[in-house]
Amino acid sequence: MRQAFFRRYARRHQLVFIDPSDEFRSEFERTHQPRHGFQNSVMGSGHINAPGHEVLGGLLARAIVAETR
Amino acid sequence: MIFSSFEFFVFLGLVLAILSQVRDEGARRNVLLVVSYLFYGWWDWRFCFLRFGTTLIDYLVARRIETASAPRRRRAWLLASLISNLGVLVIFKYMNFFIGSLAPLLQSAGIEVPHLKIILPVGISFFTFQSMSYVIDVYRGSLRATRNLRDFTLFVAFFPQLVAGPIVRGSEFLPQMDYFHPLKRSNLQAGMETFIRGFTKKALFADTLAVYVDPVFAHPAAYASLTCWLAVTAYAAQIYYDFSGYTDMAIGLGRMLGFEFPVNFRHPCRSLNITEFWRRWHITLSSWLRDYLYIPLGGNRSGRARTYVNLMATMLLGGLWHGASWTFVVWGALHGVALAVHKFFTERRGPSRAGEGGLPQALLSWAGTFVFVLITWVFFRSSDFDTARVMLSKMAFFDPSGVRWYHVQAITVLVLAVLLHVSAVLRGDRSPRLDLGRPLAWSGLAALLLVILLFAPFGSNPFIYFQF
Repeated sequence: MRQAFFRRYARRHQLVFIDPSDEFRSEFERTHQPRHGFQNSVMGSGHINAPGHEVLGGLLARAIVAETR
Repeated sequence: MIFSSFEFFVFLGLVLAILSQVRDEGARRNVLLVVSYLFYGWWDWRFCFLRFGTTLIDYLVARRIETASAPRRRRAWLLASLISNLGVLVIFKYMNFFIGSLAPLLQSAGIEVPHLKIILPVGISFFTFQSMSYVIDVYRGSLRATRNLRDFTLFVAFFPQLVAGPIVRGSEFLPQMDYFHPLKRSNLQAGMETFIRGFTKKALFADTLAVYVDPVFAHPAAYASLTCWLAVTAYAAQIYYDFSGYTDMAIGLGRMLGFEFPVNFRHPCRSLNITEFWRRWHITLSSWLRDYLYIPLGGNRSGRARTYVNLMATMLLGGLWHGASWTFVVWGALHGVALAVHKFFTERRGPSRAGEGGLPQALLSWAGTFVFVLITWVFFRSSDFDTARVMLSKMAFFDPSGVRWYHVQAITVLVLAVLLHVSAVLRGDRSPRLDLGRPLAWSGLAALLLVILLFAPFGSNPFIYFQF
């Protein structure tokens, strides 16, 4: 619901919207390693971790390349 | 009101302040009785009546047993007490378990099975066993029935050991009533040291491990095999620090108030066999089961086969004592089988001499015992058999993939636990002491409190054994 709101808002203001949920989910199914949480907190919850940033970085890079072409 | 909560510290401060102003021993015991019932009533005041009711029955029954001369009458009074105590236990703790277990049978016969809304009174398993041991001891003639209802009620309801033991017997507590119990500086100091040791075990060790253990046991299928092994190891440490921490706090509180409670743990993780484990783990329960169940069943006096049956029956009931669930029964059964197997081999081989086999054999015995105890904890901790099955299949590396989570704090606590255990073993089973008599110890205490404040998880988690 929150994602739908942001998606609508981005479209209305002609902003690029990146939803990493599917990518995070498919990465988890592939590697069984969550993209949230750390070894010193609870895995699978909280802030995104290094692999999570990697996934997000890839998505951002692809979006920037697509936009600047 | 749990011992590691802020409200308990306020409660304890008030109790000590009131007692410091009371000079008369009788008045002091009255205060202790009232605050003990307040402590229990804080959770649910309605159960104070249940508590007092069973106490009154056992008090009167014990006196009847002592005055009755005919063995049949004595037996009849004992039976009355056992029915009353076990009846309360069955109704409040096991009714839904029995109904639920019989449900498939009843439903196939067309009988609708209700689920009764019964609240489990806190500490019911502990105070029932405590009270029963008193009546049985009077029946056996090893203890005189007390003629002081106030003292007996205090014995059953004394707040330090009210909800989760140690299981103090009448023969251990009531003779202490022959003495005065003024607040003494030496007792307060020694008691506070023990209490702080228990608080540290609970707040810093057990609660930190719970942060790791709970999510893994909630969804074991999601985690990698090594993570499951680490979580089960962490649970073994958690339950030890949680329960022995509570026991230390109870013993410390008793000591502050001038009472001595029996030891409940002697570094069980160093055990070299399962028999030794039960001589070191929850000693007041294992000795209770031995004296009031195993030996009356015949113990080892009726042949080898009967000894194994008695051991199994004792451990099955010991498992069921922990909780109304088949997972606890399986846990007890596994320990029963292990005790029987150990007894079988010990009897065949004869008693081993100290140091026989050397270090390699000792290490092998320790590892075997430790891994066995770990595996049995899976049943103890799992909410159902499906969770236990998944956890065990993960531990057997049938499906090793999953989230690899090696919680830094849990590993730190486990390393500390190993170091503390090794240091205790090297010191002849003695734990490190704070010794508040030395000025330097207060700096140590301040540092310890700072560490707890910085690293212990927020909030106070209930003790695991409160649910039993």
